[in-house]
Amino acid sequence: MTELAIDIVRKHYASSDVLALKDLSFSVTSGKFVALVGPSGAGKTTILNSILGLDNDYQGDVLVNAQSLKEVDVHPAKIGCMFQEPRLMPWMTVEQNLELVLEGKSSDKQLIRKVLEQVELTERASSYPGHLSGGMQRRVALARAFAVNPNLLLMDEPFLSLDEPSADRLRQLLYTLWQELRPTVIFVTHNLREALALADEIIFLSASPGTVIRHFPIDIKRPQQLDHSAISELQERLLRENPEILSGLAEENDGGNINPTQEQYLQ
Amino acid sequence: MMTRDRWLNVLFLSGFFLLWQIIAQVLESSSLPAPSAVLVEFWKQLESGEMLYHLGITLWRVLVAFAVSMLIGTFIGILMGRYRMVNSALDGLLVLGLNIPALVTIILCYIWFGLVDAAAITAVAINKIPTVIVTVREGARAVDRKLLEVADAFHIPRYRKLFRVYLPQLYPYLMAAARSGLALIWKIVLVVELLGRSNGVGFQLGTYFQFFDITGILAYTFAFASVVLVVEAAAMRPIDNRISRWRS
Repeated sequence: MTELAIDIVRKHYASSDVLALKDLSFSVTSGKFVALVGPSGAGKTTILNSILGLDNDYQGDVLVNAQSLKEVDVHPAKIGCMFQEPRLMPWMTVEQNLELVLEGKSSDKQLIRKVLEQVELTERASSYPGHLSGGMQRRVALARAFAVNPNLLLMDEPFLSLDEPSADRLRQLLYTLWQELRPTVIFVTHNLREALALADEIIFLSASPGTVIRHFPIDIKRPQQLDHSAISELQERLLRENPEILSGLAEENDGGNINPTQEQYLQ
Repeated sequence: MMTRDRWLNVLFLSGFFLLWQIIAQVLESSSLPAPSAVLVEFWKQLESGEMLYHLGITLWRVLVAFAVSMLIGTFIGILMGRYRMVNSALDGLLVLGLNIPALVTIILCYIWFGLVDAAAITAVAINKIPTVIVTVREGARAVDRKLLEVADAFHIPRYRKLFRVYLPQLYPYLMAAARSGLALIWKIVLVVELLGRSNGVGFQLGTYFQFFDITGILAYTFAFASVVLVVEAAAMRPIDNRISRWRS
């Protein structure tokens, strides 16, 4: 069980005067799936790094299970992580990649077998990442994040630049694994539909310096395909109420095929 | 199955020795002993145990100098690749080290430390360390930070991060440094032995030189070349295959 309370008053980018975060404050209750949505420069990765405890250089406090990360030596949560790229060690087999993040217990083998089964990659256990497709590599990365039995899962646009069928399959897998283990999830994305399809709640961030614009709780059945009408309805409602969210996001169009463009929002 | 390239290789090599044998027999000169005579001498030396003794001493020096150079060179190379400050501080010295002639360091070490093994090995290491540094520094600069971030994000212990995430990224560079390192060290160790030791292959070659015993020189050359080939086949290549298996 992991609760988060983020309260960052000011955070400057390392070795510069540029303000990354200002009066950023939100909390996440245990077992919730929260999506962080915002334009580039909203400091999403900076937020993840401070939750990870890798960056404590800010005014304010980040509490994990009511413990300040500035005061603990060992992180209070068991963390699983997924990045924009699969980031597997290319010289290690799939199995070794999972082993790397585990603690070297005798039960590791079983755990690895189980999680590889869940992402349907059992027969690829001894393959090297270079021999797998992009979608498979992400599934290994997903398996790695869940192999540690996380109670806190941090995901930084994990399905970026994947083709839609692969991304969809990964979202389904993520949802299934999440439901089984129920870690608290912080899921960074700038794909609004993806956030709507997965999360219990969306936290919208402004552009630099990042701060919370709006909390948006979601109560539809999940997981849905991104083009499902329930998602479209939610999205329309949201954009009617907060058109500024769209203006922030619509600037985001780095050519990735799941990054929404203005047309996609308005269709 | 031998490929055509392999056949060509063997053909030219045996052709070379055959030609050598014929020319030597025609000339009948003591300056050019026939390959067969060299082999006979090689066998004689081997049986007497003398050759093994000198080869053993030389191998031991090569091994110690190699280990010392790799350890120190890798350590400094990583620091220089990782920290700009260290690089700025040491870069001038490094260029100097790369360009000092081997002979100078050998003579200076013998004068300063006396004609002892420690001086010999120090001289070899001083010659080799800069080239290890240059290669490893390149590797340290090419390390993928994103993979290190994975280790941090999962809160992997430091030693495991070092040995399983950081160093494996340096292996190709360490391997290149080791290969070129051995090649250089073999050669310098012989010079060091020639100049200031009373045993080892270099010393033996010096002795044969004084007697103009070309058969002896070639017998030792043959023995030495064989050892180098064995080391390559038995140690370097298997290690190389093992660490680059994932690239296939």
